Formats: sequence, structure tokens, C-alpha cells
Amino acid sequence: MKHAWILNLVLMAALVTTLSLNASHMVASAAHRLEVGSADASEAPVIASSSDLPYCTATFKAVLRRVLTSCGLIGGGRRGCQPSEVRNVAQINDQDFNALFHPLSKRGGVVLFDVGSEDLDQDAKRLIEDLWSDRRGAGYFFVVARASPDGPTEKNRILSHKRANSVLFFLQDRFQDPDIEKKVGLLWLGEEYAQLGTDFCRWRTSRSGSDCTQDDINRSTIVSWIDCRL
Amino acid sequence: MSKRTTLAFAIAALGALLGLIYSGVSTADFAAHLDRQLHPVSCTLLPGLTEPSQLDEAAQGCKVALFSPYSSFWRERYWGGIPYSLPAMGVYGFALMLCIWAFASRRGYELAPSSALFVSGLISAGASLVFFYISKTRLNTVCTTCVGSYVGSALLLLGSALVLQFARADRWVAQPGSKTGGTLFLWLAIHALELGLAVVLPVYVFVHTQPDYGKLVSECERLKAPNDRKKVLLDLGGEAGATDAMLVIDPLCAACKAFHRRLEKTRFSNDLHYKVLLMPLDSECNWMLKDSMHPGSCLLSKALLCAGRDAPEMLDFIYRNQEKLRMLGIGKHLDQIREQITEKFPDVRACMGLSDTRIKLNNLLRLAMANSLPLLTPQLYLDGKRLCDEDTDLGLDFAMNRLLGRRK
Repeated sequence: MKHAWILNLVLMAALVTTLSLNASHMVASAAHRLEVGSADASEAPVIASSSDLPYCTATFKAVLRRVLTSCGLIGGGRRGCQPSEVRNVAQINDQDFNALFHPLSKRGGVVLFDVGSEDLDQDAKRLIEDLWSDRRGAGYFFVVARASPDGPTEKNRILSHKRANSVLFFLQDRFQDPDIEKKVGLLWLGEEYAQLGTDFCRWRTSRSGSDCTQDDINRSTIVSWIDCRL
Repeated sequence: MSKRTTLAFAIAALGALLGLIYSGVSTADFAAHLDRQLHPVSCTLLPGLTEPSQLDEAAQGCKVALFSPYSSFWRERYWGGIPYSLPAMGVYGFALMLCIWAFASRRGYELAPSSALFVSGLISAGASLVFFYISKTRLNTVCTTCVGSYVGSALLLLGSALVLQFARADRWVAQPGSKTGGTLFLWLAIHALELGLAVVLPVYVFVHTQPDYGKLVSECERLKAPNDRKKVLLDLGGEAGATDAMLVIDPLCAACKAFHRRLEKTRFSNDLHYKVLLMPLDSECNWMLKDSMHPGSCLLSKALLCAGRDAPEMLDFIYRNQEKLRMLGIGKHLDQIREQITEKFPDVRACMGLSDTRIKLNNLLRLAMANSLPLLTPQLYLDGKRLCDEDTDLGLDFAMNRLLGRRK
């Protein structure tokens, strides 16, 4: 009887000790790993951020920053830039300025206008709406208006200004976005700076079926989101 | 002790040993996750002979069981809770020790040990029955390791019942007319104490050696710009005065569905006002991805944004048909996804193609951007405070309790 008692005591003590040590060991191992961290803990997750596509080269960004700063999108102040200012601000010649837009050929579009007119037709509105709603991770929407060299320079400067405004007013009216002015950058170049070549006729235009001469393509406004992080 | 009683003890010992091994494996798998990381789960009847893998489809049943609310208790008090397999180890261990004692002392025929063995058999078999029922009806799966435990408990019950039956005759032969009064009750009390200690002490040690998870669960970041100024978050509703719970999900992400369902089952769910930030992991609308992880989820997100008051019902529909929709997306059958949704919710058909819907979805992703959210799903923010990813499974109840408790 006594032996049975002792044996029982030994066996149960062994059991309880083993189970408790086992529990303690399992928890302690996990606690240790918790403290030192896992091997791949240094791999930080990707954070949601704006776009910065390959065409956003240092040169592109430098011009963009100068234009945005001087034309009121960065730092507030007066909105928009006119030809002489753009020339001074961009600090590059006409061809180089236009070349900056080439990477946007698939992203942006060209809104075409009638001679002497700043009115948007239905196709133009559709194009602007479509491009505007395809913002993705872009920060700024550029509206670069021009006029063909018909008539006086001053008149064409005003006309291109009106064309840029037509796009802005349409966007404000259509989308009622209170932040719209912080996103849209207006540049009106008249006939004085960076006239487009017919290579821009290959862009998506608001009059895709019609002829596209050098005069036609300059009675226009280029609209595009810019996918660059400044 | 007669041969047949010895054989009955051997059956009970085998059952107890099996139960101890399988509940031990389950406990080890559970405890491994206490480091708040993901680990492979052993899901085999031959533990130790096969290498567990996180990608093993066959381990799915064990994973489901492990991460289900039925794998542990006191989840709100302790991170992950206490695995049921831990006290089970105590019961099986106690039964095994009784058998070993019976073989060694040759006194297993006595009423006290044979009764104690039978009680442990009843407890383990009863618990196995309950868990098998839960497994079949609630989890809709069976975990292989648990099956090992069930078999062990069945053998233990069978062996202990036979011991109880055969020991009566042995007692008559060995101790005719023996008294059973005070000594019997003393032995029964001792066995009850032993069983209690075998169950309680490991649990006590398990609880008291745990690190301070309370600090860890509140370490994750806050939203930088919590204001939904443009009202783009999908409102799934909630009680007045409930805590804002911003859920970041992709409608086609299986983990999001599982997490959302799990969250709804917690007792905290009624205290939450769910607002969903849709983060489709689909490059069609999500510029932050080079490749689509869930093609078609942009389309479904637009549908959800168009659903208005039907959004909760639509989300439930998407969850229920998630695998089918996901496969359609992978096969680039977006028209069929659209068809499935508009057939059930015809009112959203026109809205899905509108530029305003596209803008709204973009604004959702931009809200994620403004808050510098990690590009992963699911995520949960309670009143702007993030529930750490490590706490979305086993530690969910504990973390929710802490995060919501601290707020109050």
C-alpha cells in the first residue's frame, strides 16, 4: 500500500512537472522570438503613394516645379501663366518644352477648337471628362492652351487664355470639386511660344476623324494628368 | 490484476498516449503563434515524420481549427487565449500515468483508479464529441491532428470502460469482502486532486510566463488624415455612438472575407460602426501596383460604391461568391463579373460606368495615400488607431478588448 502511494506520487509529480515545464518552454520560445523579431520583419510594406512614372526625369521635374511654382499651383497666389512668363519660367526653348509632353501621348489628349472660338463641343467635353476621371496617382492636371498664328498676337494670347479657362470652367461645373483649383495648372501660350508640330495630331484628339493641320493642332488645349511626385 | 484487465489498461494507455501526442502537437502549433507571426501547422496523423508547410493545402483544416474561436478560451484576457489542447494534455497525461501506475503496482483493479480512469475517459471522449460536432457544423472541416485526438479519446473511453467492468471481478478475487469506505474516498480525492493539478498547473504556467502583449497591441500607427472629407468611405452602418471601425479591404481578397467574418462574430461587432475603404489590389484602377493580384476587384469596388444602401448586402454576395468571381477575374472575364453583379443588383448597372464612380474610387485610393496606408489588405482602424496585422488572427479578441477598452 505504501509503495503504491509513493509510486502514484512520483508518477503524478513527474506528469505535472513535465506538463508545466513544457508549457513554460513553449511560451518562452515564442516570447523570445517575439522579442528578437522574425527574420523578415525588416521588410517594410509598400506604402500607398502618388505616382512617379519613368518620364518624370530630373529635367522634367525641374521645369514642372518652376512652372507650378510660378503659375500658382505650389504656394498659392495668382493662378495661371501666360506666354512670356512660361518662356521665362520654363527656361527652355520651344522644342524642348514640347518634347516634355511627348511621354504623355497615351495619357493626355488634345482638345481642338474652331477658328477664333473657345467653345467646347460635346466631343471635347467627353474627352476632358474621360481624362479627368482617369486621375490614378497623378497630382496635377495640366491645361496648356494655344492659338494658331491667324490674326494679331494679342488677340491670340487672349483666345488661348479663354480656351484654357473653358476647360477649367467645364471641370468646375461638371465635377463641383472644391479642390479643383489646387489640381489644375493653366498655361496659355497664344501663338508666341512652343507651337505644336503635326506629330501631336497622333495624340487622342476631340475630333479624331477630321483633318489635322499645323493650324488645327495649335487651335487647341493639351490636357493631361502629370504622374510625377515633386 | 487479470490478463483481461491488463489488456483493457493497455487499450486505455494507448488511447491516452495518442491523445497526449496529438493534443501536444496542437498545443505546440498554437504556442508557436504566440510570437504573433505565421507558422506552418502540423496537420498529420504522423507528427514529426512530415515537414509542415504553410502552403500545404492539406493543412487547411487544421489552420481553420487553429484560428477559429473554438481553439482556445479566455481570448479577451490573454493574447490568443488558452488552447483547449493544453488542459486536454493534462487529462490524457493523467490517464496515462494511472495506467502506468496500474501496470507497475498491479493494483489497477481497485475501484478508485479504475473509476478515475473512466472519468478521464468520459471527459476526453465528451470533449472530443463536442469538438467534432463544432468542426462539422461550424467550421465545415475536419482537422487531421484533432482526429488523432478523437481516436485517442475513443480508445481511452473504451479501455477505461473495460477496466471498470473487468476490475470488479478482479477485486472480488483479490480482496473478497474488502471495505471500501474511508480509504476509497481518500484515493478518489487524491485522484481528483491529481487530475485537477495536471489540468490547472500547466494552464497557470502558460498564462504567467506570457510576455506583456498589452503594450504590443497598441503599438501600431494612427491615421494621419482620418477625416473622410469627400464622403467616399463605404458605410456599412452601425449603432449610434459606436466606435468608427475603418476596414481596408479588397472585395476579392479571401483573407479580407475571413477577417471581416471573424470580426463580425466577436462580441465587439455590435459596438462598431463599419466604414470600408476599398483598396482593390487590381492595377486597372490601382496605380500603385504593377500587376493585378485580384483582377476584377476594381469593377466590384465600383459596383459597391454604386450600391448605396444595398452595399452591405452586395458585399455579402461578393463574399459568398468570392472564389467564383476571383477565378473569373483571373480569366479576364470582367464582362461575366459585371453580369453576375448586375443580375443580382440591376440598379448599379448604369452607375458603374460613370466617370463620377471612377473618381470616387480614385478618391478612396487617394484617401489611403493621404494616410500613408500600407498597400495590403485587410486592415482595421478603430477610431483611427490601427489594429496590428499580427493581431488579426489569434490575438483579435485580446487586441480588440484592449483597443476598445482603452478608448472608453
